[in-house]
Amino acid sequence: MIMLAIETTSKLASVAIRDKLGNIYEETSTEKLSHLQNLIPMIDTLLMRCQLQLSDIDLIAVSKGPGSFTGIRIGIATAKALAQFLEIRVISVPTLHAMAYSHEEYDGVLCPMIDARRGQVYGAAYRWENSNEGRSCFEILKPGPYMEAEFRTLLEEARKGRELQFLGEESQRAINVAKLGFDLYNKGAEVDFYQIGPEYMRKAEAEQKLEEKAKTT
Amino acid sequence: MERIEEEMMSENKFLTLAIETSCDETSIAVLSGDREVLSNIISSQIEIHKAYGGVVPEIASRHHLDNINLVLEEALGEAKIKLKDVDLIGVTSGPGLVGALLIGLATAKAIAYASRKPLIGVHHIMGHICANYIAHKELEPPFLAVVVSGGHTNIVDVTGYNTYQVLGRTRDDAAGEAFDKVARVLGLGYPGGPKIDELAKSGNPQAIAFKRVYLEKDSYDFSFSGIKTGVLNYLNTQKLLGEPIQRADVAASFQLAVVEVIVNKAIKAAQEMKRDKIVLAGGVAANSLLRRLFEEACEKADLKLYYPPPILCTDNAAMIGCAAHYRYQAGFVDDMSLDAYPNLKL
Ligand SMILES: [Zn+2]
Repeated sequence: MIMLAIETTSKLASVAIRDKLGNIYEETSTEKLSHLQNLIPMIDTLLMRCQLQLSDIDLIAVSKGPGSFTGIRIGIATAKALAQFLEIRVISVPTLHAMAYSHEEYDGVLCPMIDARRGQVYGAAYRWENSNEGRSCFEILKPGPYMEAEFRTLLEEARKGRELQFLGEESQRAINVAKLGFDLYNKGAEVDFYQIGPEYMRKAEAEQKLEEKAKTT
Repeated sequence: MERIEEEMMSENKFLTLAIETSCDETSIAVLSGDREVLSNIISSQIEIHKAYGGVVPEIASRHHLDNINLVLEEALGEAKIKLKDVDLIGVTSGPGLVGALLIGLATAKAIAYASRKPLIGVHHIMGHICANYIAHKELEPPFLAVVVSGGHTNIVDVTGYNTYQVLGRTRDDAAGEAFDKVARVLGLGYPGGPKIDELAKSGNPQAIAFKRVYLEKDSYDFSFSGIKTGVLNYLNTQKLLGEPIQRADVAASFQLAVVEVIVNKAIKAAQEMKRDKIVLAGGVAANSLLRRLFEEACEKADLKLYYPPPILCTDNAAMIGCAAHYRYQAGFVDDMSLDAYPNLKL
């Protein structure tokens, strides 16, 4: 199984290919916030580097958010259209969880965090532990949008005195999407392209305001 | 033998897949050749945006992404073709809402890349003009085009399928924008164009003399921002005087003030450029008064008038496919770095 992974939820986009042997190759953009322009050329460069054709791809894993709304949409629109043409299935990968795959060897608590502005963060916490099936990543604080102060309190409770490592943009990379994507594939999480969608974790501002107005009147 | 047959097939049926997502319509079409529409699916978000009194960009982008792949399936199904049969991919690259544009662009680019077929970025306004080629198979340039929509009011001298000169544009609000704003002031809701058109039918267009703004003597430019203020002032004055407000009269008088300026400027431009045809395009081209006044004026001035049926006046992908086809024939092909251009100039 050859998998293409797409990560466009942060300022720098990246794509990765996981080949049949489990090797992962990655291509990262050097230009900030030009995902629409760079994504397909990056995929093309990576395929050439791996001496593969697009038609060799069996499965596409795409980072579904949270993150930049625009970025999320470029990644998912591209993944869905490629899958529709190639008639292959897709895996939608939760971004915060994928970020925890950047530190598989770490024994403390990993805390992926994305700035959501207006005093909020999109955050979660995970811990890698050895189990019967090898090393697995466990969720210890649910991914979600949190008020910053609230998040710090919940994190303090969840870590139970363990060492803590925060993860930022540098972990929003396709290589991690490919790793978690493969784990999800092994659990049978691949679906048809029309079944996936973004995980914004927040409503559009206008929608929020309209709901608030409806509540007060 | 088989190969010759295949070539014959593709020669007879050059298939263009077109995608339009510049505002609140998710549309995908399949064209055979330049003007034959095999399918033209339009998924409108009007009902969703009504609650907000206008298009909310973030919400529009979200719905485009949710809808686009199913709209694509439907367009292919109705045209009875497979994605792999497509020879050319056309997509609106601007102007429009950037977040909305990029859903169509990302989808188009992925398909073009996967199929190794040429990709053509299309200017939305050129698409609107091309809607007339689909509706009138005999129509050919040169002609004078009048593009009136929610985002644009342009007088364009179309000299060829890919060559044109903008003679006039709005300096502030587009005509459609003025319709939306006045509709809001009158409490008619969104979208304003059709609502004003309907209400105006029972009103007296001579009841109130709203100011016609012609700008400088030789200018083909427009200004519609003042007329909303004019309507507001009128409503306030009536209120202060304790006079009743005849909304139908206001709608009819406002509509006439806008349409009259557009018609007069367009006729003058056609005569100056020595064109014998006027072509209407854009959402407001569906306005009944605009059509009637243009019909009368064109007859008087001995000009031929063309306009598309309402379904081709609204944002749709068939018009984008037609424009893409002509661009492709002229050798304009884009590469995979094609971007969204929200302020793309004509
Ligand atoms: Zn339009």
